[in-house]
Amino acid sequence: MRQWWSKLRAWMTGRTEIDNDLAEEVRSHVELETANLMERGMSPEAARAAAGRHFGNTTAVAEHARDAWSFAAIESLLKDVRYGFRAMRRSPAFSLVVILTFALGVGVNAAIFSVVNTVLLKPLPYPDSERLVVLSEANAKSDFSVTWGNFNYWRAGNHSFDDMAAFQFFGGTLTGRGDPVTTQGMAVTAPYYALFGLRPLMGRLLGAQDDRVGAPATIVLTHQFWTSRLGGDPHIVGSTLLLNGNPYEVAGVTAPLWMPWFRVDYYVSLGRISAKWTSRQQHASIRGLARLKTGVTLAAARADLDAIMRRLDEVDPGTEKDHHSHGEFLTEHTVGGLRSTMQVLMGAAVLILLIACANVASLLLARNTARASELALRKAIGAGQLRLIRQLLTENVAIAVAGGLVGVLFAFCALRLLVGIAPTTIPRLAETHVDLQVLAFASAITLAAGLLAGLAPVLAAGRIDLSTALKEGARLAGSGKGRQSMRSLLVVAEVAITLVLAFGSALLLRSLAAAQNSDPGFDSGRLLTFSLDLPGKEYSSPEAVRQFYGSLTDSLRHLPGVTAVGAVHCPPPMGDCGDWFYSVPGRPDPPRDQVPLALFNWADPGYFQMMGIPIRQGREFSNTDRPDGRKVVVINESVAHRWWPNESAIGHQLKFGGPYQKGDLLEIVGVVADVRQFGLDEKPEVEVYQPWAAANEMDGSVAILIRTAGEPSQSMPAVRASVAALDRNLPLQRFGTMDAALGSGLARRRFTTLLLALFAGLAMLLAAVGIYGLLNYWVTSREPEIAVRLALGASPGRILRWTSFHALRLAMVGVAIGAVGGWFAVRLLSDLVFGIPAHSPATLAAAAGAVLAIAFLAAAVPSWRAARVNAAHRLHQG
Amino acid sequence: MEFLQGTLEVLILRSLQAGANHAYGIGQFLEQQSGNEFVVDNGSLYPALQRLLQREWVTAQWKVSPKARRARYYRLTPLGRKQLIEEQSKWQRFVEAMSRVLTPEG
Repeated sequence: MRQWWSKLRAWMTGRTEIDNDLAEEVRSHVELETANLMERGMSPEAARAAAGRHFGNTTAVAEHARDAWSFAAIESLLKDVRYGFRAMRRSPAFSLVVILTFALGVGVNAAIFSVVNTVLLKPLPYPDSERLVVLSEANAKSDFSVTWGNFNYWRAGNHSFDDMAAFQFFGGTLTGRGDPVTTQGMAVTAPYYALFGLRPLMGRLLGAQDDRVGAPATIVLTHQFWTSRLGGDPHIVGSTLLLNGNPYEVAGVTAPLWMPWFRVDYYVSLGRISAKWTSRQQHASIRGLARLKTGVTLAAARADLDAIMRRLDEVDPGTEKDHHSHGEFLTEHTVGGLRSTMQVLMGAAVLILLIACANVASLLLARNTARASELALRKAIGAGQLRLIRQLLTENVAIAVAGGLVGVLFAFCALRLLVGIAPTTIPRLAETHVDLQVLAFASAITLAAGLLAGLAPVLAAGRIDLSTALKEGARLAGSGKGRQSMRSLLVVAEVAITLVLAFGSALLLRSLAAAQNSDPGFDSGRLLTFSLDLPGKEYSSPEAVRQFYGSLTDSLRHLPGVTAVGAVHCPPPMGDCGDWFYSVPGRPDPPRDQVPLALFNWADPGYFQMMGIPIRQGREFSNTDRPDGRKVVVINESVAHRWWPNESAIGHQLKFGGPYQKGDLLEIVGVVADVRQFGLDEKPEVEVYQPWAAANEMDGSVAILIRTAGEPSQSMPAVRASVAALDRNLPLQRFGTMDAALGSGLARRRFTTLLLALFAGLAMLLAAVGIYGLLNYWVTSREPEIAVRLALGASPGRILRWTSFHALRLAMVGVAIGAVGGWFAVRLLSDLVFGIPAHSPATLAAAAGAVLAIAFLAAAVPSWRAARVNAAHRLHQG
Repeated sequence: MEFLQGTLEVLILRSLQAGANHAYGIGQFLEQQSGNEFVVDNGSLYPALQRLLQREWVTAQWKVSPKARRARYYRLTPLGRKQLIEEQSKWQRFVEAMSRVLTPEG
């Protein structure tokens, strides 16, 4: 150890000193001896000559001594590396192909890994983010918001959390600063900022003094909102903003920080607006965020909260009975849904790398075959088996490293492209870049790939049979059965892996096509849509809201080119704007924790007809459905099939809120077709529509739908003007065609499909190169045999069939193995497959056909060459 | 007579026990002390000295010899002295064992 350290120190400080010392020491040695001999009476010349002779070779001694300071193992490794690079330079075309193949494999993996690493693996950028938990309530069926009352009992009574904050979406219209803009913020309790580690850039964040009923209205802006919407006004702190018509004093601006869920513009205090939640039963879309104490598990923490809920049931029984706590780690909550997509992409990338390795291994085998006599010679003159193997491996790893370097460059470019085309909804994707972790990963897979690809030739080299290799000469040495069969095995593996990728990609392509062509449940052509949020201050009563929308739809209907106008609370594909319990009177009451949920929506008279949603039974809403009349609803087919599969649902009743919550009895007057409320590639949900004239709650948020006679985008300016004419402070949100809205819902699917298709294409390209290389070599080594066959009367067509059959036989074996592998592997894709069964034999057959076709094309050129062998010429050459 | 593997290093340490010396002097010492049985090959002596330096059993220093010549003098370190004692007893036991085996019984 000490010796090693001394050497390292000498190596670090440079060896010139050691060299100089040794040279001088040798000189002084000879001089000392010369002087000694002269003392004994020799002449100076004779003494010098004798001393020199006695010493021996001065240079060799000095060098020998110097070698004691070197790292023998490392320096011989470097020698091997130099040897490897020399070999690379000797065959530049070969090296280029190998380097590019490695670069492709490493580049694809590094790019995908950096995405996976940033999105999935890196901890969220918050203090102790792995202990952050999102809290809500749940029954046996699903989770939903926590009430303000329960939250405060949880916060005060738990022993499991460091701290806990409540938050709620808080959107609105900002006026008084240029054009009115729609904003999206959060109402949060004071601990929220500390849980996320949010810091003020200017001013201050909101504390407990702002977070109580009666506190002055204050607001904290996010860095993003301050710079993009308020021009980074340096005097913003202390000024007043008008949000939904209410003045808020700006307390501060947060430092930039990536936040989950959505782009947040500002924060206000939730406690300040909590006066309206007087009972523990009032749900208001509040969720909790909390940090677990160190060492407390999520299950233990939930048990703690559940105990609080049971105690509350005893002292304050009511509709909250049987609700318990629900918790999910923030990390899981944010990126859990992406895990399967990321796994599929990473898996596909690894398969590409394996194919690249197989290709390189095959190429190396072919080249080492050509070098077999060189290797045999080196072995014959005494190179040890291990030494040879080490040299071969070092050469392969050296070339892999060259490929890895190009691969990292490739990843760098690919990543910019990837982030550019990826949907912006993937969390933190924009932060992705080639960092140290990615470089470490790239180095690791480069080494692994180099060793893996180098293994086959080394195994083959271990079998070099001296006498045959030397006798046979370079051309045929080692092209014998063993080596050829190893290359065949590699091609079979490549084809098999390619088929797995092709099958997966074909499934996703068909799913995308199915999603794009899936019937949304309504006619989405020539349809414009936008949403409005009426500020509660000016439109405080449901009547005022209805009044406004009445005049708006009237004025829109009279625009030229507009054929129909409808209004709905929650248009497709917006998803869930509010679900609630319901039950069917007359049926057995479900247990308390199994009350079914339905999406509750409301629509105006004529909505279903103008949307082209077929009415299956009964009628749609009319102007006679008034707030004071009978409470009526229209249900979708999912509800009707569940409760009245064999009879008409018309005339039956639903109970809003289920058996255990307050709520009206609603009479079913119509059944309409299902609509894909969550997007084209999502299943329809159970949905209940109420007439907008009689809706229980009007929060001022409405989507307007406009059917046009011509190109819908041409009507957009007129629509905008109509809204401004009624209220010039109302921004139009999500204004565009329905087809565009439906299409953007598929962005993530399109992205995944594109990537996987790209991977499958790469795999096919690599496999084609592999098959081409193998068959080309096979034909070359069989030229004499082909010549003999031709000379004996075989037709060129027969030779063509013989050689292409050889390639196709390998491809068939690969396809058979790949089909079995693919059949099992698609289980991983099941989350992403839509509209077709994942185990689709037709898709598998199509993918297999494509792979076989590629194999056939790759085999064509060598086969054609085989058929054109000039028999006479070849036989003369002998 | 050639040195047995590993003996040269302990012999060098022994030669430095009396005091610092240069490579030529060490060679001379070993040849004379062995009754000219050992022939010191500089090709072995110099690498052995480097190994002793690396293990920090000896240190080296340029000095002027009594006859006014510059030479590189090697000196035992405390660590080297300890090593020498250990090696001496080891070799002693080895030699005794060897001679007991080789000496004809009787």
